[in-house]
Amino acid sequence: MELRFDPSATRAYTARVLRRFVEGPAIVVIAVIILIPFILEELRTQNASHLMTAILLFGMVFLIVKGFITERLESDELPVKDNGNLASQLTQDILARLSENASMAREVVEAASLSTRGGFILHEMGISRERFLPLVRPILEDQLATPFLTKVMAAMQRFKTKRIDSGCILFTLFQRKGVMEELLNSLDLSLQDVAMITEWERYHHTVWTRESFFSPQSLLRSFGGLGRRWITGYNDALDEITTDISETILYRCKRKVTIHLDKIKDALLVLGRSSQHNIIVTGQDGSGKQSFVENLAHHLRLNEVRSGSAYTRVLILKVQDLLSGGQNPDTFLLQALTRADSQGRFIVVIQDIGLFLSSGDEKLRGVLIKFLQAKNINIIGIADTKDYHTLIKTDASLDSQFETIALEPTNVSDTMSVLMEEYFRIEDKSHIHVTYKALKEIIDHADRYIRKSSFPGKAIDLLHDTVSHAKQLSNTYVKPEDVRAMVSLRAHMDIGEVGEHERLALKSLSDAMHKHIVGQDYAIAAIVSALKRARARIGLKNRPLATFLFLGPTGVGKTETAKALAEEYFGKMASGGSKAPMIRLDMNEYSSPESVSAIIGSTDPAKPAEGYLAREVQDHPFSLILLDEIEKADKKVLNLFLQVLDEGHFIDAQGTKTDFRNTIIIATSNAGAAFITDFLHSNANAAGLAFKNSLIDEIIRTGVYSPEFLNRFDDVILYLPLTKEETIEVAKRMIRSVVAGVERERGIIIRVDIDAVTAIAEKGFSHDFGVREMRRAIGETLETHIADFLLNRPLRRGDIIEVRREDLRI
Amino acid sequence: MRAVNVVLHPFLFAGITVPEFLHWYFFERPSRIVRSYLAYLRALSDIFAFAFLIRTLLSPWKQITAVYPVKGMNLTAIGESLTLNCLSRTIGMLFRLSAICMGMAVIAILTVFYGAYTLAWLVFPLFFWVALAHISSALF
Repeated sequence: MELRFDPSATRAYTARVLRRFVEGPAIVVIAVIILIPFILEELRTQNASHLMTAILLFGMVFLIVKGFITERLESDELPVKDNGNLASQLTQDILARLSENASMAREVVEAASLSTRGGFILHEMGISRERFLPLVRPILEDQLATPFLTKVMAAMQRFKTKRIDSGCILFTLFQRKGVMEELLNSLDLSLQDVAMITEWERYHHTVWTRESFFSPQSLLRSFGGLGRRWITGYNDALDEITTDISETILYRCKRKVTIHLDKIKDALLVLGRSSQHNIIVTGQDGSGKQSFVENLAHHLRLNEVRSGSAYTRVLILKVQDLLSGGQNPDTFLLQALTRADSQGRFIVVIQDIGLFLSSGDEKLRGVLIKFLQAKNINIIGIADTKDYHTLIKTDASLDSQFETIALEPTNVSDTMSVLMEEYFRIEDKSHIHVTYKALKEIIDHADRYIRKSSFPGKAIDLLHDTVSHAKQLSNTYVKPEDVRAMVSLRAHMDIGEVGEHERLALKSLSDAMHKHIVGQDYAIAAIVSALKRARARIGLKNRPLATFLFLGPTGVGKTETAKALAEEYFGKMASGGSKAPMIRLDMNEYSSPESVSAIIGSTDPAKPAEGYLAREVQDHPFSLILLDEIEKADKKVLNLFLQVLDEGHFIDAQGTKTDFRNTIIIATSNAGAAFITDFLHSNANAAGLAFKNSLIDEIIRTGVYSPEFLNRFDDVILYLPLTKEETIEVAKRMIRSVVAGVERERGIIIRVDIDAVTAIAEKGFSHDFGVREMRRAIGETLETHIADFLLNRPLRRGDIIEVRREDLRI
Repeated sequence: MRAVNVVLHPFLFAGITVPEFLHWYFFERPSRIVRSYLAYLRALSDIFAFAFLIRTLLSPWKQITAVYPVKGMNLTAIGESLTLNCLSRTIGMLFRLSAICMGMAVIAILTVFYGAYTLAWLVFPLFFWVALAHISSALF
């Protein structure tokens, strides 16, 4: 079939012509012309009937024609008459902006961009029409509409639309290489993103239309069902302490995207049972527990309306009112609920059942247990994970009466849908555009940096924050940078530059670390290179940032390295943080099986324990964790850490997921120290992969660690004993800090001879303890000497003391 | 509008648009009206809840009932409870009957309205020509 492009042969064009005629000045002129004879006749004969009839007739014809234009000619739903005319495949809003002798692709694209729907898509991509059109015109210079639209038909089939809408046209356009590809890259969007945006826009267009007040559905929502409350008796006591949400639940704005739909169905089944029909809704903060209960009430009421049954009233218990009003809240509740049980079906929602159980007394709890078994009363309790594990699970009489529904945080695509719907709602009111990229950033950043709550709550909160922030600054756009600023505010960290900080920190990390540590060039190089690799890792990582095992004799700088790394890498990120971001665990303390509870906590009432590590990492997710002497740890503790190394998280005793994905984990060990020392005695030149491999073989051979254990770490770092020069350097640095301290406090300058330094270094170094003894050596020699000196000869500020080897009495 | 089109288009116009108009006028619009009527009918039935009202026609009003004495033949007490219960049910019945009547009335109005609308719509072409004849007779 031969294809052509003829906008004038479409219904939409006829509609436009007719509309221009019917709504323009022409119609007024014609009306006057037609009616003048009748007016004259009326004036002549004083008989207005003809005039009235004429006016009536004219008016009715006018309305009929308008109805025809809107309902039939401008409709996008009718099947296309002439498949050979590509123009009739376009949607009406594009045709309305197309001139009747348009034949170029350029004109079609312009019309698509200028339409409201096209404009929406461009806004979501983050580009304005003013910038977009000049870029596009040169590309489509001489192309005719027909071949262009033939290509666009492919997009139409892909998105399964009835007509070619702006989305299809823009999507096809962005598939071109060259300028369009560069534009996409500059906006940081992939073609898949563009497809998503057009799907979104379609959803927005079809589903998000506002119903008129008089439509049957909204009438139903407003007025509900007559007579159902006449069945339920009076119950003042209950009314006082509860709020009825089921009365207006159908009337309130319903969410179109419902998450946890399967859980709602489960809940409805549970509620329908005759016994064991109570529910505990648990989940992390922000996972949508309140909305879940509201959605549940909504679905329940909808079912009841459809099936014509009596309504179940869903009541929210006003716990504060109950507990604070009157002497005996338990008898009050008892009376109210006893009455209710004989009056119809009720669902009582306790919004914070943890609070209810912990602040009410035993009698109140007793009343609750009694009504858990009532026939016509269902109880729904909302609890966060912590309360659930500590208060409910541990109480057998309560736990058996409740069916638990745990709400998982929504996954990324569901969160995106919820966020999108929330965005549509906000955009209606505030007219602030949030680009697609910014919404994705919201989800990414909320996932990585905001640990306290879970999806979808935290994404929605962040969206609201960003939009208010933009409103304050009178911006109409929310871009990814704005999102980063808000996340920085919430997470108390400078997110905007984290990429930058990390990058700069890594570049100078090697030098920075050498400032803290003497020698160990090989070790530092290996660490820096592993961190660089970690940073370049793409994709969702479910492991800690980096994990290392430090092997080597004691006192050569393993702990110092960890401290230096924490300060240099994480220290710059925490804004105003005074605490060094390092969590140190001495595995000697965790050498018994019970010590696992010291790490993850325990809810056993006999042995309560606060999980130290869990809490620290939850509060400071960007930290370095140092596990000293890991070979001393108990097997259970070791397994726990292996799980962390593998999966990047563990779940503590209270059910909270502790996320280690932003931590660096360093384990130190003295295993193989003897081997290292012996090896170095025989081979002077120690560095190199060969040495490391033979060390590891030795370790495995002697059964200290298994190969699986060693493989879990990103890298095994070797610490070599210090050479003589290095020892002297360490001594020098320590002496320097002592001298500086004295100078600062007393103003006395101390000059230490190089021989003295060497002597101190020799004294402070030992094969077994490395340079641990150096501090003591300095104390015993240098500081003692200075102290004696000061006693015998009082000095003033500015005096100089010379210290030689002989003075030190070594 | 281009001057040329006015000559060309009348043929296209008459050939394509007029049949479309007729189809819309006699077929599409009336069916839309009927569908709208049915939707409102359904909504009103749900709002007035006829089935439910009839099922519970004789139920006590707001659960106001009196308990009959279990033991013995205390005629006074039985009489009192009986009176109260009958009264409660009667009141309930009165409320519900009036609700049903109100609902019926509203639906009757709706039906009459929609019926008249549809009739007027379908008859309008006839009326058009008659009225046109009437007023042109006045002119000429």
